[in-house]
Amino acid sequence: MAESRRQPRTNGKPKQPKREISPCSDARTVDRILALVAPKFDNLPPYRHRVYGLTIAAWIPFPQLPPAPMDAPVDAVFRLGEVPAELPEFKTRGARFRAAPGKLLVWIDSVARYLVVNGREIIIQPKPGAEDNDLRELLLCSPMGALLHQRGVLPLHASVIATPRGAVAFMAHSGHGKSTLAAHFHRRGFKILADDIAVVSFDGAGRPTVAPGYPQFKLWPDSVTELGHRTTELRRFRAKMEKFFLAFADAFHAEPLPLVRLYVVEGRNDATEVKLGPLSVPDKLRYLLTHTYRAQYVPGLGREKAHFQTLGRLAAAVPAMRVKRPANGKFHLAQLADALAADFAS
Amino acid sequence: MKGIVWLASYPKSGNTWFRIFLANLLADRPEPVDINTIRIENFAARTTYDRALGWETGELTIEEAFQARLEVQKEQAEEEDVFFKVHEAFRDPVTRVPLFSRAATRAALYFLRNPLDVAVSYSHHRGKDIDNTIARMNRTDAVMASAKYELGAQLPQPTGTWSWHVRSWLDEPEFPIMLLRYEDMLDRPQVVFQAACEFAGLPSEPARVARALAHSSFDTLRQQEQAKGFREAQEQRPFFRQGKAGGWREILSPEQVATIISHHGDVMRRFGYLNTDGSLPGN
Repeated sequence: MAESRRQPRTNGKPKQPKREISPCSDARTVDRILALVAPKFDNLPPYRHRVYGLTIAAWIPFPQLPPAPMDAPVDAVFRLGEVPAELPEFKTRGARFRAAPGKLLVWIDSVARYLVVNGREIIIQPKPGAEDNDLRELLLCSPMGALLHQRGVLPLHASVIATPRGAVAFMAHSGHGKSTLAAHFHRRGFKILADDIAVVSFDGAGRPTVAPGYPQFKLWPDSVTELGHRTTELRRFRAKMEKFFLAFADAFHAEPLPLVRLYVVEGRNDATEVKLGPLSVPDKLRYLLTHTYRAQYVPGLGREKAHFQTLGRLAAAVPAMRVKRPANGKFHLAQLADALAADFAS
Repeated sequence: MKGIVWLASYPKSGNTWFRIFLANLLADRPEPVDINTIRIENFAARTTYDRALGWETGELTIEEAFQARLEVQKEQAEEEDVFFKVHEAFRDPVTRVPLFSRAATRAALYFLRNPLDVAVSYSHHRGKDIDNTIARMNRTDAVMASAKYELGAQLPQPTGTWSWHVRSWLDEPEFPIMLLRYEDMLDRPQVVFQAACEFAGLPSEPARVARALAHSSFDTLRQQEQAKGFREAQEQRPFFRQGKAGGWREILSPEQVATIISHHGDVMRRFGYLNTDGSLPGN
């Protein structure tokens, strides 16, 4: 993968995004409005990357993310700075987060505190001695989820593959095999848009569209083995964890794609075989809410109404199926993939 | 009412029975609740824990995930009527650090069962032989759901030895806990369950308790499991197997009984599972 280079800021002014506002309140419109009203970034950090349809300026390189040209207009900034210990204006809280309109504070004591501001900025205050790798990997989880919510796009907890008909997303809770499933489709020759977070927005024609993430799967050793790889050949997600990256640079689908099908994958003790069933619109809404990435931030960020509207729009636009598979023993991976492939080709 | 009600036990000691009773008690409907729709979860279920945490524990080291444990409980305690099933010891058997927050606790019910019967039932549940289970019941470092090479649906749950488990919950000073012996639950259900409901601040009208008991009777549960399966069963082995006390007499060898007594005799004596002279009650 090409490395982004440390460069001084270019003197040439970055291109401004077009400023006409289309009547439908889609994500691009939100971006345009943000670009109009948000203050210009000062002292942009030196590295440029592209992820989830955004150009990022970061304080260190993110080797896992595709690079972006230095003159591309920057949508969001990752930078080091002071992060407060508390967010006094918070509306909702959890054990390791505080959420307020436009702001989210989230932390892991031994790694860093992150403050996510207005969909434009993630400020990181590392714990002394924290590893850059941990700062980056954790940033791409909770803080990234908050940034996406603040921007008004929809992050779903899903892996996404490219099919001839469009993007197909597999939503599941962690540990229910969505990465393994996407990695299996990768082996069958499908291109991949995203592993863990599927970012959905509506294009100019109102069609739901998935933005590309970045080209690597995060897998537990059992899945690595099941996919025919060895963990000794792979880089660890974090130094002290038995979780590994499997890169798929060759098969990365780097362009957005219309979302044509959603699957909810559930491993269940009481299932003896793979079973597919259609979901009604109310059930779709319920599952979309359950599988919204970091849904617990939404009310505190003041985005509940907008979030429900987006889910309603998506539920109306895209067919969805529930997929039950046996939780215990074998993952029935090939059988599961066969059933899904037959379904999304129909 | 705010605060968490813990349904605590070593595995296979009546916890699920009580949980299904509780679901029926809260639903208070003419028909029994479907055992596969019971919402009272294990505290160690990652999805619930992660929601209160704000991160996915699958992205964190076990230490990072565990450091937030008591704060996760305090967040959950802010909700109304929170019940969790738990199999962890009250204190970690290795570090002795408390695994439960007093500030987050409304009450705890502790389900205790004769370890001779636990050994048989737990062996069946685990799909392991009885000697293997007897050894596990005596391991300080025994941890449930400790899979390291895949992401389990639950966080690891340190239980320690059976004796450690019992003592860690029941000897915690000034902790609002009530002991329920499995054998008493079978023997005098109306009295025992009603007292537990009163203690935990649950509805406790006698008729309501009686109906919930009927809806969670062993026969009802086994019929439901036979008809539609139970999602908490392991690899299709029946979860509701016998539901009685003293079944060990037909299964355990004298050596196995002697081993369990040598490991857990003190605690067994304290709770009436062993006479003071070392003989077994009822023999």
